[in-house]
Amino acid sequence: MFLEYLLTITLGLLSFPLLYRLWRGPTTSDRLLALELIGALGVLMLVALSVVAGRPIYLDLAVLLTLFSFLGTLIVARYLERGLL
Amino acid sequence: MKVLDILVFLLYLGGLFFNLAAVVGILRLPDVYCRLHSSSKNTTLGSTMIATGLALRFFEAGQIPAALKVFLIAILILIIAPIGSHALARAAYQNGAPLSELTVCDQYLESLTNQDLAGVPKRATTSKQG
Repeated sequence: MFLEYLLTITLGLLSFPLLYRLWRGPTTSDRLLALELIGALGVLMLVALSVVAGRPIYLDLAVLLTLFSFLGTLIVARYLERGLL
Repeated sequence: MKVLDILVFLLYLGGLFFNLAAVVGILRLPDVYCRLHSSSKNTTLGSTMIATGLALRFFEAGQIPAALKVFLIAILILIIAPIGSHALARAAYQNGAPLSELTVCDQYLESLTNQDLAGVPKRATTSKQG
């Protein structure tokens, strides 16, 4: 359980340097890429926190966050490609 | 029991290493496409490793449905991350994201026909011929 706590903190620290790319990406695609990676790290943090708290009910949130982050990436990519939704 | 703990620790360590490599690549590489190259592969492998380790931890505690749910998350990441990166790279190219000056060849531009080329905007940095 202590190991998962350390894992959560390390994943959170890893997502801080991505904020630089989100703030000062030269193009919109850079920002979208950084946001996608922050979302993936957040899903892993949710799963690790459900191990720490011992509550498997939190896992539903992680599954939904995975699916909706993928959906958002696809929609914004389609908007960048064709200029319409 | 003890072997499973060591396996989980190794999975966490490998996953953190690959995620760290993805973050360093996103910060350091010169180009959108290079950053996508760095992030998609490393994130796919690293996140799948960490999710597998967490599923083994639930399996060790005897909570089988939760372990299956975390395995579902691992398989979803394994399928979803390459598809998202592919769509993002194609969108970046069609949107006119500039190539790096170090680019040697652009095979996607060579594969396009004249009809496709009408929609692609001019790039800020053109690639060298050859």
